[in-house]
Amino acid sequence: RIGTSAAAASGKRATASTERKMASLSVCQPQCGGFSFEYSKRNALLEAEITKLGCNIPAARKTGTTICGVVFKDGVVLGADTRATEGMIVADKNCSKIHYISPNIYCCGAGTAADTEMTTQLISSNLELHSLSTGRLPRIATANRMLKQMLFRYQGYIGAALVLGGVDSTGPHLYSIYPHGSTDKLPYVTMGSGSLAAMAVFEDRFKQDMEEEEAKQLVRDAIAAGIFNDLGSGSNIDLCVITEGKVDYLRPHDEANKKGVRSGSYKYKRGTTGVLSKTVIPFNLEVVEETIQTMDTS
Amino acid sequence: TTSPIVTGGSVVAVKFRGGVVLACDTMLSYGGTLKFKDVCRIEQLEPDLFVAASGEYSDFMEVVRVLRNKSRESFLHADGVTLSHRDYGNFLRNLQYSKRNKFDPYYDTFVLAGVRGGQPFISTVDMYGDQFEQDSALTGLGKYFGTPLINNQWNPDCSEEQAIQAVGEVFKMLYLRDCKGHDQVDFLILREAGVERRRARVNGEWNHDMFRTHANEKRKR
Repeated sequence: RIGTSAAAASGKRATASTERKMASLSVCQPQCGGFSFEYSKRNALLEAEITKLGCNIPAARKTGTTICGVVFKDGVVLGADTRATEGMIVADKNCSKIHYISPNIYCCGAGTAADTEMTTQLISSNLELHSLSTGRLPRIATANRMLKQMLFRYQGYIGAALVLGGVDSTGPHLYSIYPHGSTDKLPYVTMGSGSLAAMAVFEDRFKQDMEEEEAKQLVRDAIAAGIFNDLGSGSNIDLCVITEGKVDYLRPHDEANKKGVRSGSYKYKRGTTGVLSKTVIPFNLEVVEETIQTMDTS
Repeated sequence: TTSPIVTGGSVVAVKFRGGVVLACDTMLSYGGTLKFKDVCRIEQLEPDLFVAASGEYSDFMEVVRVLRNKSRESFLHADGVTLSHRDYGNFLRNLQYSKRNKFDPYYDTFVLAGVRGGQPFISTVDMYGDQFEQDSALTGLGKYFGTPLINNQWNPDCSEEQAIQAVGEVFKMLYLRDCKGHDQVDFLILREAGVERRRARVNGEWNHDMFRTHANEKRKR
C-alpha cells in the first residue's frame, strides 16, 4: 500500500492515512518485558469454579528431586536422580536433570522442570557468546553471576533451584543457586526435596581432597539416600564427573530401580477360542517408506 | 496447644539385640532462643519403661503426669496385674486422638521405649493420634536427616555398641544441620538386666579448608 501511494501523484493524503493506521497499530500492542500478571484474577476465579465441580487444575510438572555436588581433588562430581513428578504421579521415570552449560560447566536443576530446562539453556547460549567474545574458556563464577542475576530479576517466580559445578582456569568450583537469586559457594551442596537425606550422607562422609572414585561413591550414596527415603525422588542415579579437560557424563551411573521381569507368560494358547471358519485375503502392498520411532515400553 | 512455646528437639530410639537405646538432646528452645541447656527430657514411667517427646514441653509434663497416674492406679488395685508396654501405647494413642478431635492436641510426638521378658519395645504416638510400634523411632527433623543414616548403619539385630554409634551419628548430623540441635545428648540404654544412663557431647567440627572464604586475602594470580 505504501509503495503504490508513493507512486501516485497525491502522495501527501495517502501517506497521512497510512500513518494514522500505523499509529493505531502500535497503541494496540504496548511493549513490556517480564511476566504479565493480567490473567491472575481470571485464573483464580476459574480455579474456584473448577474445584466446585470437584475437578483439579493440572499441576505444574516439578522435578521432585535429589541433586547434589561435591568438590574433590581434581574436580567436581555432580549427581542427580531421574524422577519427574506431576503432583503425586511420576510423569517421567528417566528424565535428565544434569544440564549442559559449557564444555567445562554442568548444572543440575531442581524445582519446576520447564524453568530449570529453559534457564540453563538460556545461560548456556549467552555463556557461549560471552566465551567467543573473551576468547577464553568460560568460568563457573560467570555462569553463577548470570544465573543469579536472571533469577533475582524474576523475584523467585522462576522456580529453578540449581547446583552449578565445573572446572575452569582457576580450579574446580561448586555453587548452589536458589530460585530467589541467592547463591552459596561450598565444597558440597544438595538441593531438592531429597536434599536432607543426601546432606545426611555428605555430612557423615565428606572429606577434603578425595580421590575421584571415592567422590563418585559418595555422590552415588547421597543420591541413593534421596531416592530411597524421599518420595519425590526415584529411579536411577546420573553422575557427571568434571575434571580439567575431561567430562564423564555417566547416564545412568546406577540403575537403582530396574523394573522386574515377568516370570510367567500371560499369552493364551492357540485354540483356546474355537475357530469356526478362516478366510485369508492377501493385500499386495509395496513398501514406499519405512520409519522407526522408539517408544518407552518399560 | 495450637502453637508451641517451649519446645524440645528430636528424639531417636532404636532396638538392638536384647534391648533398646533411647536418646535425645538436653535442650529446650523458647521459640528461637536456647533457653534451657541442661534438661533431661527422658522420663520414667515404670522400672522398665521410659518416655521421651519432641514438641511442647508443658504438654509432655502433663502427659507424663497422666501416664504415671495410670501406672499408680493399676498398682493400687494390688491384683498382681501390671499394665503392659503396649497398653501404655494404646492409651496414649486414644488420648492424643481424642484431644486432636477437640482441636486441642497435646503438641508432642511421644516415643515409648522399654524391655520386658527380653523383648525390646518401641512405640511412637504423634499429635494426630498415629501410633506405630516399630524397630526404630525418629521424631522431628531427625526423621529426615536420621533415617538414611540409620538405614545404612543399623539393623534391629545389631550389637549395643553399633546401635549407640548409629544414634550418635544422627545427633551429630542434627547438631550440624538442625538450627534447634544441641551438642549434649542423653542416652538411655535399656536391657533386661537393667538401665544405664549416659551423657555425651557430640563432635560437631566441620573445619574443612574449603569453608574459609578468601574475601579479605590478596588473591594470588
